[in-house]
Amino acid sequence: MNDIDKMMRRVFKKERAIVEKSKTVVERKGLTYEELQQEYIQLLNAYQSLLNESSKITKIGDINQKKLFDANSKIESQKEKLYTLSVTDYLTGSHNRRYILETLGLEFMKSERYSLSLSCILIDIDNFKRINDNYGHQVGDYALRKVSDTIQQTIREVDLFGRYGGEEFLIILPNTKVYDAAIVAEKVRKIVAELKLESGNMENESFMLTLSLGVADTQTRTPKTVEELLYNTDKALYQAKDNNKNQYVVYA
Amino acid sequence: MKNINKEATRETLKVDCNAESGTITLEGISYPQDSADFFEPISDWLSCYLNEIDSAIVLKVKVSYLNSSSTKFLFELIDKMEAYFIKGGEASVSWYYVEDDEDIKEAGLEFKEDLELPFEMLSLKSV
Repeated sequence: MNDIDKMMRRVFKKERAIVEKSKTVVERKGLTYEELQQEYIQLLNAYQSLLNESSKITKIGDINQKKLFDANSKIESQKEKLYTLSVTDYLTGSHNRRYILETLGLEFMKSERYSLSLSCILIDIDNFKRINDNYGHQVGDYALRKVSDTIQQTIREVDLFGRYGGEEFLIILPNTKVYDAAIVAEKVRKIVAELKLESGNMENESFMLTLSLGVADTQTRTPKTVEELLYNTDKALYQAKDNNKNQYVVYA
Repeated sequence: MKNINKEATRETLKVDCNAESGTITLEGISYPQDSADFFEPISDWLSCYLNEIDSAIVLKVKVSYLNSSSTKFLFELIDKMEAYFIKGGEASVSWYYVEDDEDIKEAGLEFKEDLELPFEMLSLKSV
């Protein structure tokens, strides 16, 4: 008998005593009908009271199980909310740096394992400081959200995207060669360059902005680590900046 | 007779059996590994109190979770008090529940049903 069985014997000692008593009644010989009836009535009363208690315990058990289940569901939904918060950039609502770097790490491993090309586009908003200086930080934040939303809507569903930091964004393009990634980069550059943003100032001035983009992949000079891939992407981005901005450069 | 004082743990109730004030207070969460080990001393204390002290007794219950075997033992305590009350003793149960905790309120009402023993339901403000 295990510990739980031993405990249960003690939990149900009253019930066990009734069973034992019933056995002695059955074993006793020569009882009259009236004596048997007395015993029967006593056992019936005991049975009724146990049945009553048992249904209440079952009901209370169900209530407590429901309570536990509700508490669990609450924890699960809070866990989900916390997870979403932990991978979301608070300002733009896109993925944050932590998520995008973790994802890039996983995609990098997959690309190595299956010998696939993985591309990256690192994006920087040109002269972003000027937007903050000219129109204030609220307009700067609005510009970041607008650019983020536009990129998200422009890229393919299979691509992953997030805010890399400040005014930088990163697109991860699994199973994509660098020149196909360049097509995505140019598409993003063009659509963002056409955006008209409201400054919200007295004159209701609108302004436009441009992007510089660096593109690199895992099959050009085969970077051995994620850091190396990011370094290559960064180099391409700075080349685009040096070339007068508003363009993409492919690392080669 | 010796009072019982146990601090609550993650799985067991805070217990205070006090012969001077004639109260048993149970508070917290109850899913002990061995309910018999946990509740038998309380049940024995109650029997001893009713036999030896033979004075008014109040059971105060402030629980937020009870597993099935704890529920069974709580019935045992209440049954003893009910029998004492029917024989003319002074006994009552105070069942506390946090005001928005419908589950514990419902559990209390389930214990209360069919009893002759005074059983009051008391709501506590949620913190």
